[in-house]
Amino acid sequence: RSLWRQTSGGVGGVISSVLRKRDGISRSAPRLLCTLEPGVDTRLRFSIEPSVGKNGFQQWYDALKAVARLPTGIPKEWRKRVWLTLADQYLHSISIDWEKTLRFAFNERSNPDDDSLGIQIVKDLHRTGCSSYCGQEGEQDRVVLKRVLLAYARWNKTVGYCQGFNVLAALILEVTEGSESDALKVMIYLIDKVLPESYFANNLRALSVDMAVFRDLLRVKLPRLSQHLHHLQKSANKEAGGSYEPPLTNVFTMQWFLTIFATCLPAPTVLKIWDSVFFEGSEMLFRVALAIWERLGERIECCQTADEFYSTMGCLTQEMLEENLFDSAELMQEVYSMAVFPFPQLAELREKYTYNITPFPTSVKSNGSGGLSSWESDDDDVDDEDSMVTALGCLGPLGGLLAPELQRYHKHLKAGATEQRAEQSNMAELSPGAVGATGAGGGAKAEHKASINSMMMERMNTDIYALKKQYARIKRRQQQQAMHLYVRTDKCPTTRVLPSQLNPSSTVINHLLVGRKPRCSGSRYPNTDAYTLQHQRGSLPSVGTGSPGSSRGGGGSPWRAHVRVHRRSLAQARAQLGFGDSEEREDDEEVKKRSEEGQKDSDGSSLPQSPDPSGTGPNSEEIQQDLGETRGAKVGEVVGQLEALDLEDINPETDPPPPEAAPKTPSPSTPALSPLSSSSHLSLSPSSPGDVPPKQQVFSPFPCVKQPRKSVAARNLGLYGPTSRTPTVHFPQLSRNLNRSSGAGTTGRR
Amino acid sequence: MEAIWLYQFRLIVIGDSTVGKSCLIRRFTEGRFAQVSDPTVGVDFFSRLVEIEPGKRIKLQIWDTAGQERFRCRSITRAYYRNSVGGLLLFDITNRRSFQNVHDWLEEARSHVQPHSIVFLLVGHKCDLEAQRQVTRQEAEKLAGAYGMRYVETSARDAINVEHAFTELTRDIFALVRSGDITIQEGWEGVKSGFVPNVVHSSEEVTKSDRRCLC
Repeated sequence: RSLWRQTSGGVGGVISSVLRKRDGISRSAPRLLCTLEPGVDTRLRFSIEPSVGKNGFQQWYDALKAVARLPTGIPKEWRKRVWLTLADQYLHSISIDWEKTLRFAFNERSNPDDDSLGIQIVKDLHRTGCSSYCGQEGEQDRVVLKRVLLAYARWNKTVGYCQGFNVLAALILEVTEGSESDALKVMIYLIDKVLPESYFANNLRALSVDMAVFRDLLRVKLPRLSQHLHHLQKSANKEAGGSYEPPLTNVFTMQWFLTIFATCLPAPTVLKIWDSVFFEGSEMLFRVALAIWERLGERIECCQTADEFYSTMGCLTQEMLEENLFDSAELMQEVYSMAVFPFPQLAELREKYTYNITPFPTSVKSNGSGGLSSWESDDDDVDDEDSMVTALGCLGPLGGLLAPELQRYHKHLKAGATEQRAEQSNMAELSPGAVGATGAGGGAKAEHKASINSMMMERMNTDIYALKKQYARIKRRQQQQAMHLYVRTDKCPTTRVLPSQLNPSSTVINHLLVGRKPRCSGSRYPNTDAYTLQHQRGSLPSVGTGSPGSSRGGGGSPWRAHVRVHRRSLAQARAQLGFGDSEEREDDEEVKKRSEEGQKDSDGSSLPQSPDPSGTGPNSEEIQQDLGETRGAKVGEVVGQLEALDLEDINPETDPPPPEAAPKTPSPSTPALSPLSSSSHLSLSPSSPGDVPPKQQVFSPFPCVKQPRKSVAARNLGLYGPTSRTPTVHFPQLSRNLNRSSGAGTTGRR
Repeated sequence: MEAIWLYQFRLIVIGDSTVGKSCLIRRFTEGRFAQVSDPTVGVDFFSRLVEIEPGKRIKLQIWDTAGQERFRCRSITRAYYRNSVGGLLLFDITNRRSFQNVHDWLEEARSHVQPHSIVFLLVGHKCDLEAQRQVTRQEAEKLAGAYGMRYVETSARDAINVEHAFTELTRDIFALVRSGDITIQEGWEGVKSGFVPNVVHSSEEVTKSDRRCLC
């Protein structure tokens, strides 16, 4: 620490004194300084690392944030330390045991998942646009980069690996001077915390939202350019009435946002942007993009056609990257001064488009089994012809739904145009002419119509698509349920088919509780709690809504069977959707521990894929063995499952999970484990072979179905799945922090 | 300066991740093989003129797409199918999976351009890696035949058949435009009529690789 102070003492001194004097600076002083909240203690012990104590971090944060807003920005000697401090603070706030995380994430042995993840990662390694990652001499760098990417993918399986991550990780590694673990930390902070959720997962849903939001902001902030672009787009689809040409800015904005400008601006500028993104949040993406478009505006306004625009942009993007088209200090000044923080209306716009882009949000919510997340992630099988036809048929009622939507959008346009001049409540009273502020005057109405038109087209596309997905999902669930019925009634007499079992929305589970270690042998899963955390993946990490032991049924309570059924279907749904399967595993184990009879009953349905708690999971020989023991009645299903396995031949079985992790959680005895877990897999078999195309790499449902044991390590580490943000439940030594962490968890995410 | 062209065709290049879409396009538009290239994030575009007959120049606007599954959804890349008149459907001859996915790509493209259709060319890429070949020429040709398209094997690294692939596709489309099977429609960017080249025989040489810079 003292070293840091020495090397950066000069700059630090200056900034420190500036900050100290801030109170004396009048209100008309440069707005940068004024943006600091009054009342912040500026006589900070200004240091590169936060001081200990309650307000230590906050003080440090305020000070460094102010530094980042200065024209010079964060000195590059500080950058690594600053980023790491932010990342550490985040990890601390979610009570991550970093040592364990590291052991798991950088485990040398491969996880069963790694192949599917690794294929894409390895493919992209040599093409990380930075010379040190290619050729012979880049070998070492590539290895490191791969390890970081793989580590992140293991950490957050929902996101996994997304093309473009290699660029992000390469830049981070540059800053962390090649330290893998530091790079992972920063990457986690950036992707999990700073950027909106689902920016890279779930078909880049949040990114789609942000691109739509950005076009609105462009309309408000750069009306002339926006109108010109709109004109170009419109004349490109003049006659057809439909919107053939996607919004012109999309191509570029998408790349900028996905790589946080890393592929579009020179590195020093990019680093400054990243600094500010870390401190100010994802709204910086919009600010920077607006500033860039503004600077490009003049040349774009010369373009007469969409083609010309694209050609010109081709030149401009090249120039931006290679020729320092912008002065980074000026750019950043504009970025900070273009609007107050937080960016006006941004949150509302994001909400609006999130809502708009999700068709039938109510039906999504009421659809259990993972809620939003299942909706978004299972687009692997939309190729289904049937589903398409049916979805199109559904469009009839959609027409009615669109009308109010259209009105609302119209209203919103007014709102957007008058953004800073009117309170939200007044907006409805303002006439469309208010857009005249944009210089459009009478043309504003026409513009509204046009934008509504293009927006509606976009929505229609999304709606059809979503409908297709929903239909496919419903169909699959019906198949599963039919199978449930068959299995339960035939082979598991004690497990009755409950009405709720036939209701998809009942397969909701409290993930919090799922990861909890058994404290007593009684049933611990209050049914009410099981419903509370449905949306933890979708939006809020609803940590701590249920206490582990709040309601305990008797040993033979019917709830147990009920809950078990719920949990099984959940596990199965999750497995199919390719989510982290740690829950599934725990699910199986806990259920088993809790109900002996159930295991015996379902013994007959034992299947080869039964996970092995000791970590020395099934290999093909075992599968064969088990197969021999399986009842004849099950042969058909087993064959079906084996076929499903064959489809996945590209992901051969790999090493067992790390042994050091396994003992951390009391493992149930082996014989007890198999029956139940396998029965949950069994119900999978009828739907999986036919429904799921093997082509997917990241979201392939199969690795999870096939190799449940991979999650032993992850579960023990508390890293997997949706519980990655609420990992405290897994660690007894951390559970005393539960309250604190849950608070941080809920407020941490936007 | 804007070079003179008879038509502009918009092409889209699709196929699994890392089959070499961007490399093929770069070889064609820039004349070089980029050892280092970022994976395509979202979509990218390139352009180049080709001369299919003396004096008849066609401007190709080539859209490159991200191959990773998650980019194929929503409006990220799908929207770009619609304005395309032609497309290169790539697979990697050393990667059987990418060949098996050709059908899916084709279906996806077709479903998004209706009522239009896209003239596709099936391209077996990386044919310089003969030793690692997993897809035989015969089966690829058979598949192409079943879909009614041509098949070409290319290598961006060794510049094998790259010109040929693009030129053939351009000729096919040109023939269809000539015969009236493809019509130029206002509001559709797939085919656009350019300036009539009545002074084509000018001495000015069209630069071979005017990628992106026509401004």
